[in-house]
Amino acid sequence: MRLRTHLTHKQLSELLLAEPEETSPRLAELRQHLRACPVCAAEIATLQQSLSRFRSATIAWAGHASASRSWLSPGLAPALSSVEPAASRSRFRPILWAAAAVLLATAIPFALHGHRSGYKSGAPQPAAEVHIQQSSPVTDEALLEEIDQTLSSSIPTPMQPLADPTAGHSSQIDSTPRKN
Amino acid sequence: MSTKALATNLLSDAAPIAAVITPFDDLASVVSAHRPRIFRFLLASLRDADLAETLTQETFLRAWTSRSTFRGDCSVVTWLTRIALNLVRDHTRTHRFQFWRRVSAQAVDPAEIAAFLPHPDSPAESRVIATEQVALLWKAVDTLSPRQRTIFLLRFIEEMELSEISSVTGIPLSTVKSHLYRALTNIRARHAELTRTAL
Repeated sequence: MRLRTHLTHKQLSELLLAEPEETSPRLAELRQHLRACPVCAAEIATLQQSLSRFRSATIAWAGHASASRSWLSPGLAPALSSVEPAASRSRFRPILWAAAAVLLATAIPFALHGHRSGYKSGAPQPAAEVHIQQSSPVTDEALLEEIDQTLSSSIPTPMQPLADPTAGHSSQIDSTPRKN
Repeated sequence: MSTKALATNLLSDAAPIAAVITPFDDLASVVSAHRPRIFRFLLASLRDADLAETLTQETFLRAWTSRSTFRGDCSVVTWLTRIALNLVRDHTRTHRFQFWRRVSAQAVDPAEIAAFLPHPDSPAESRVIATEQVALLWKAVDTLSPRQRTIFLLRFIEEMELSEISSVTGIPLSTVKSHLYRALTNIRARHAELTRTAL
């Protein structure tokens, strides 16, 4: 392809997007045109300069914004502190399993011993019920005594005032016959 | 089946179960090496330093929690950028973000960004022109579609290769090129306007 006119937008873009070390017959031809055409060379140089400034300003801005911040969040901090290489995790895993097995082996005899001693004491009642029985004798005795008193009396206490309708009025009633 | 063959089968079955060592197991190193770049990409995409900071942290947290899925098919930077980009997409998709974007004072003005342009030993007039160029470019970037903007920033700020951009965005290489051509058309048009105004 022979370039007789100025580069098109697509051709300029191809040159802008190409890596410096990238080579191809098409790119070689476009670069050849740039060397021969000052207008196209100036156009692409200005664009490249603008893009370079755009990048420099953005990097400086981001650097400034980043430097003025304490950025480590509570969410990320544990991840950073608890991180350990996978190799070390896999290396320590058998040790952890062994420790867990030893703990279980120690705990099981104690649990079995406690279970058996519970049967030997001959206390089939659950612990909660035993507790209730120990705490209630005083109340029960008082209740039984009250029931005994109620049953032994011929007239129930609430009906006592009805047993003798005249009771309490004898002093007021004059029982002597009146003489007319 | 022979014992040897059985053992070989068992070993090959057991192999995937073994813990895979990934670069993300040493998260502190990954963070110190790549944080500035991820933060910069997020800041350029969102133009909000607080939000960029939050999403940078979220990027590394997600990378660490899903590190078992990293197979080394791409570079660490590509993987991190992909996570960051997904976070940007998720975030900017919400109506709440769009609302606050319209009314927020957090979004940095292009002129403010341009003020950060280093001017090593350049005359005052050149500084003014350079600052105007940067501000204009940022204004032009504002007019791009979200996808074009992302591709443009990945190319011209992060200097990613086109194939890498394709990998990060999941967009075919030819489409990446098309987006860049369109973005550059917009940039060139704005650039020409500025040149005419300056003359």
